[in-house]
Amino acid sequence: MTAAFSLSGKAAIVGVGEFGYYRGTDQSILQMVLKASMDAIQDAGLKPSDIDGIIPPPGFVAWDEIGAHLGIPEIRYTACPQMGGASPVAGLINATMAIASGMATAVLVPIGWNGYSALRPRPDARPNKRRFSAAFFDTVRNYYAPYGLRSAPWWYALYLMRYVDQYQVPPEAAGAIAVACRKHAQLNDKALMRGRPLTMEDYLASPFITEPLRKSDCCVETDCAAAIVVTSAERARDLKHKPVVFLGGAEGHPNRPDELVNRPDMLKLGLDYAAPRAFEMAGLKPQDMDFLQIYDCFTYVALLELEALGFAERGGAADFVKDGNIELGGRYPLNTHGGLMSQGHCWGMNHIVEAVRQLRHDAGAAQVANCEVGLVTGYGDLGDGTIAILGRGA
Amino acid sequence: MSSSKPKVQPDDLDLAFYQATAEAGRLCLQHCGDCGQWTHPARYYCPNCSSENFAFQPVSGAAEVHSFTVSHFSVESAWRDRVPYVTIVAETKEGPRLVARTDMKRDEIAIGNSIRLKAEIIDSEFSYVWAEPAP
Repeated sequence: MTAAFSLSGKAAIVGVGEFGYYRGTDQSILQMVLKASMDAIQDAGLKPSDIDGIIPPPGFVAWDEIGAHLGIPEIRYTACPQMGGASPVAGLINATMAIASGMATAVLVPIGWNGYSALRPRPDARPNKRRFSAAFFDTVRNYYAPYGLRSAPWWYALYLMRYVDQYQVPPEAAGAIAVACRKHAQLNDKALMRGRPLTMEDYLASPFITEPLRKSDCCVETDCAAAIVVTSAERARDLKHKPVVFLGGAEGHPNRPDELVNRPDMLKLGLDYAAPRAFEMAGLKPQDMDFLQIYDCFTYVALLELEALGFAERGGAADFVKDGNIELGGRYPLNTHGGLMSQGHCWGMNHIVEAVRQLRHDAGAAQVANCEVGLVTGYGDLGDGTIAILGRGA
Repeated sequence: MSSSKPKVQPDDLDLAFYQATAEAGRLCLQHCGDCGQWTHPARYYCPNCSSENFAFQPVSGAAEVHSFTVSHFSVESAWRDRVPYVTIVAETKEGPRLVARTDMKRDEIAIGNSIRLKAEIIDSEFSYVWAEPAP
């Protein structure tokens, strides 16, 4: 069946902004989000009055205060994806739909949080009232947290242990993700872990948090914000930068999405459902990608995502990530900014920002030479998945 | 096994699950009155046949280890002193899987091993699921 209407090529990312990545900042979440947003609007060569759509993250900040502070006079479209770290890519897809359908002409997709300071406030800090909430928190509260499974590493370990056990995934495979991200962070002056290299030996010596996750399998909590501006591919041609065109995208969700352990296949992520649809929309194959910005909250999750994308059979990502294949200079450079693992946890919006820099050929020392097309994934809550395939515009 | 109550305030069917277990004095799960499917966490519509006709009924306790984790670190006072502690994803003979705590050690656990599940009734609104080696 041929789709009567495709979103491919209908919109482009024309502006990016980033604030962070810090462990402790004087800025409030709202201030950080506004700075990143204003930077993204100005990066596009636009004014706040050009923006008519806002797609904020689920929690922390809302569309109305963002619009009011930025001085956006007429908001025509808002939406709010409810899928944690899969939300930024979902926001990009949603913005593309809004633009393609004529509901909006220029859409701001921001995110930001005090991922570090929320749990470690300065003694003189005012109480933080900004929270993230989700329906699956009830599942966690009633069935996981009482068992000493307090937050994401403990929840995801419940399925990652089965992955490691059933497919004999070696720790070196996860280590290859951590090492590649850390290596790339050394090239990025916005990366939290710049100046702190990590070898495979360091990785393997890292203590377990909850098996199979070591401390070095976990991303770094930071205070940060990032934002993108999306407009029509046609209008993008007249703006400041080389447009980064939306070629394909999709979201997918595990069955059942609000709990982890009763899925027929605990290892089948939302991305398993989404990836084939995104590649079909783009008319491209995984092997066409010049780089991969993979949502790397935990290394083993990134391995499962690579398998979901089709780069390896289930359990086979260990071969794909070895021998520098995912490092700059290799065939599939992964998280060229350092990722959540080593730049900082900005809910994956930093992955979209990096994809844009790469496709503008503005990625500095981390530039993937002559790249034309690449992908970004999102992963959120209990396994929601999103993917966007992006290309360098004409 | 003796435990204090964690900070939980279940509502809707989560509350019904815990109340049924407390009342029966043993682990109960949601059972479809039409197709017989067992479901956990409980749902207002049966995932198999969409029926709204259900009851919470005792399960056998027979289960196997579907997955597990061993926690070596915790920021919670209730768990910090217990590391390393094992948490099991138990697949019941009836079908549903539950997260369970256990006193078993790492080297006693393997995926596929037979275990037995028991409820430790804390009060009318919360019970722990415990896993023990199969008899």
